[in-house]
Amino acid sequence: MSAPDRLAPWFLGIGSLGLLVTVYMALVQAPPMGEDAGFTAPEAYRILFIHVPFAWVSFTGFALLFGGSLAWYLRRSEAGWRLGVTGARLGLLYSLGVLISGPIWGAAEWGTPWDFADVRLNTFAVLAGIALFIALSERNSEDTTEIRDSLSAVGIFGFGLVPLTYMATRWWQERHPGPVIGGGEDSGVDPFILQIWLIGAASMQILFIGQTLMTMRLLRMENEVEKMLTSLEA
Amino acid sequence: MDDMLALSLAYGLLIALLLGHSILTALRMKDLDERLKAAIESMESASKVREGSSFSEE
Repeated sequence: MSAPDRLAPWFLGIGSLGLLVTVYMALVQAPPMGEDAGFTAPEAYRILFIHVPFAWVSFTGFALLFGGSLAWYLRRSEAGWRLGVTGARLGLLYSLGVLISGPIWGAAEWGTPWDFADVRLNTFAVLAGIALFIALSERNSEDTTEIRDSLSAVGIFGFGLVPLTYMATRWWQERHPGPVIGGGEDSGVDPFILQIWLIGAASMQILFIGQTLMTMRLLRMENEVEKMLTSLEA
Repeated sequence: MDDMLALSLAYGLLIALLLGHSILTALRMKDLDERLKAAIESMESASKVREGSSFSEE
């Protein structure tokens, strides 16, 4: 077992502990936010303490998918391919977290779980769809160079939606709140809320690193088993 | 349903999603590890059989 593989359980353990701290702070320590803070549902906003870190970390997954796909496409790197597949699987996992938690808040605050006129919501859903397509296709297709090329191309071009999703609330704000960090004079957030978000995001990012190491090792092992079985059959 | 109860359930589901993925990956790795060991054993026994047959041919 290599050194990064040995570190994976530590990342998973520390990340999980941090998440438990985040849950405690979000559900117990954070105060209710009423109409004076701009919310109509004073308790539902607490779901944002996990929604926002999920969203931030999901972009790390999409970045891995992009970098890995490029490395496969340009250099035929096996590690690059594994990185891309890992990015697709974890990007999908974390975007599922976003797509479950977001509509919970939307239903309570906006009166509707989804708005098909909001660009941010829809480009993010398409990003999650791309991750789903790559993760499922990789699992259910034959492992050939042509399939890898096609899926990598989807990963590379699909990444174009990341900056679009990021900028969507600045360019066409409908329902999804605008940026609260680095969004100009009108943006900003209560320091305690920011603190919980940062603890949640750091914990999730640590967990994500552990999951990345684990998934990369799993893909390596699958490859070794396949090679051995092929040589046994021959 | 009480708001805080609903939120706690949602948090539980989301954390279970994250940790469940890690647990499933770990189980899959354990299964692959066993398959890898079995494949190595059958490769070794196949090479022993080949060595034995080449001896008897000599």
